Amino acid sequence: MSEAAIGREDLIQLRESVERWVEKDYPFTRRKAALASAAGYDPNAWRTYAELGWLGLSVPEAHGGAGLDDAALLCLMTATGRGLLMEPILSTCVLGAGLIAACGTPAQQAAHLPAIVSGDSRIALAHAEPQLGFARSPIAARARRDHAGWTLSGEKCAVLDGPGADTLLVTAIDPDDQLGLFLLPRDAAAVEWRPWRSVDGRHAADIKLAGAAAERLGAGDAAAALDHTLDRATLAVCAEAVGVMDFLVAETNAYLKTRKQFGQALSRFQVLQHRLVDMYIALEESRAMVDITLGQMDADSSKRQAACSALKVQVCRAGRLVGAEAVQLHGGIGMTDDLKIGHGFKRLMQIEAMFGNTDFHLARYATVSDALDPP
Amino acid sequence: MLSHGQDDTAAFRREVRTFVAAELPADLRNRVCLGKLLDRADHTRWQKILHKKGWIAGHWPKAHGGCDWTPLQRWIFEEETTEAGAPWLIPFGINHVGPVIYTFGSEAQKRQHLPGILSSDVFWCQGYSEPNAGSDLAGLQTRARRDGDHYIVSGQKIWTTMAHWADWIFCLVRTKEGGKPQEGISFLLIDMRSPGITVRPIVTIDMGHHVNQVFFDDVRVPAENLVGEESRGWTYAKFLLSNERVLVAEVGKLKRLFRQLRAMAAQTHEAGRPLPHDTGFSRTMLDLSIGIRTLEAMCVRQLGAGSADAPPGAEASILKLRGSELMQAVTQAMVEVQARRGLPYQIEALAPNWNGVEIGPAGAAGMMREYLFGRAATIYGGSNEIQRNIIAKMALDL
Repeated sequence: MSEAAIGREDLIQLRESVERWVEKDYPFTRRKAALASAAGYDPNAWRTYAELGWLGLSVPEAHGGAGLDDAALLCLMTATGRGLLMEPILSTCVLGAGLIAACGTPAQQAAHLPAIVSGDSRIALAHAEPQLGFARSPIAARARRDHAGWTLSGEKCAVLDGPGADTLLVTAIDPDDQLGLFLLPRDAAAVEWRPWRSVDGRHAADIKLAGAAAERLGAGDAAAALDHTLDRATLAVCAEAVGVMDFLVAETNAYLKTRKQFGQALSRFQVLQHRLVDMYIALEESRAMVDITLGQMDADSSKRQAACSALKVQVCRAGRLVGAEAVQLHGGIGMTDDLKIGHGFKRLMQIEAMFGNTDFHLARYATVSDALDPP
Repeated sequence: MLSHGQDDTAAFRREVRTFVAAELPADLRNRVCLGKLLDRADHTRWQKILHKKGWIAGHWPKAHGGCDWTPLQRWIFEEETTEAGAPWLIPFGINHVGPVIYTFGSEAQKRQHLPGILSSDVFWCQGYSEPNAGSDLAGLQTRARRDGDHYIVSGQKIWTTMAHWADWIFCLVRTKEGGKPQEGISFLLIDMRSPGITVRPIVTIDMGHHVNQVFFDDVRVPAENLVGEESRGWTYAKFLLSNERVLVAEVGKLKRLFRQLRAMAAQTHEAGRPLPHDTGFSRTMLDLSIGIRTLEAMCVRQLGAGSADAPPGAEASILKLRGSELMQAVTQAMVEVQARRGLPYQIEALAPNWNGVEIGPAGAAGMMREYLFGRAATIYGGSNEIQRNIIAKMALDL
């Protein structure tokens, strides 16, 4: 994919405009309304993201996008974290558009990418399987080809944002034992849906495929492209986590200064100051790791994998600390659904569970880098 | 099971175990083990079984309907029943206000309240925390003004667990201004049906309704509902809180959850292999196992050494601190199991009449709820920061 490096000035401008919009137009009440709605996200907000050009930041200009490098995407993701946006930007723009741009034929790209940019199409990735856990292989789902085309069989789980998508991207093994990616319309026959909601209120589903007709995305083995896209999505969701943590640290800081017990502000207690300092350090370390990992994404695959796994370990640990401490330092009020704090805590739980947890990425890090060498 | 080196202790443990195996209804046990939500009738059912046996308040003196159990016996009872999957004993009557009433209350109060607590026909809740009095409980502002034979109570309590089920509330109220904040506090028993009381639910991050705000708008409370002496309420409150802290070291429940965690992990896969084979996860399990052993050792050592009326000081705070942290760690490990399935969680799945399909191993949603609501365990009953202050003062003279 050809992309233009985004200039420093443009990046600052983008960051300011995204942050301003989130601050002004996506208050907590809007998140709560989206959570309570049947769709689980705000379709009007989605429409606005398209109008503002957010959905096409990384899509090539030829398909209506801005064709910017991922500094722009990460800036957007951090802002979505700060505002705890509910809309499926990660699924559609990073996983969906990313895989279609990487693997799709020119015709498939022309058919799907403009619709993503305009907000008319939402994509979800169906890759995980019940026996797979966080591992990315071996995939058990099978793809067969007959005179009418490809059909898919198997079980997929944790299809994030699946119920609200119009198209699923399904991974399955073809008769040549290669990993194929398949475009499956949301309403395709021979697909059994079991929808559910994740701890942070997102909509997801487990699905069973019993010979569902699908269109292959591109040709040949997609394993390398999938691994790259999952790493890129890891980076994107870590940037989102930075936004969530940034919000939690700022909000906890403000609360400690306001809340008085024993005749003084909680922020006067040194033991609480140090706890907030540790949250802040975890946030700053995560920010630095996101920045440095961005520069490794086009390196050879083992360098990229090591960088992304190291990043996810850092963000899983930081997110766990910052989320739990934000609730703890708020006390009882931090436990309520009425406060944004608990929502941030649960979003960080969800992010920890996406694309591999600490154990998974520690093990992966050990296989892709010589752990005893300095990085 | 640890050996306590005493035959009568071992015999008591066997007796409790045999009783629970015979008398705990299977449907209740099943729901507790799956982490389903229980209603008031479910709790009453089990508590009445204990009452019939004479064990509902075994740690109370015989004179008041108990069995004179030692702290160690009481702890063994809690451990055995919760490990077997018995419902949590609602503590507000039996463990909290009951002992306050028989220790500091009038004869009339004992006659009026103790039988209903023992039979579980009367449910209590605890009116302690207020919006501006959390860790700094002594800063509470709910006022009780004397008016002839009554107190007129106005103010607001918060985080009141099960106020929506309760028939009565025991409240800390301010009866005197000025002086040290602890000095003007009194302990009042208030009928929840009194005009002027409003209960408003609070939804917590597990999306459940367990806690409430309770508003008092010029509620008239008969003066004979004052426990002990006016302005001595802080003493009674401290007596009560120290009892609460011991109970947070729920070793029996930890063991049960740990077994469930192991079973759920065995049904969950990583790269095609059951999760217990995963190096990282098995390390987590081993750490938790040692944590539970250590907590049990602390409980046995501290409770075995003390006599029935020894004032629990730093020891209770250590148990509260470690018990709550360990409960969070065990349930967090379960979250790591369910993370393999994308972290599904809906509170509706825990309702008795829910007929959807659970994602992942049975009981996973219940464990997730335990984790989410369990974040409060390091906040309530005196936050863990306050417990560390107590330990610093009592054990280390800092």
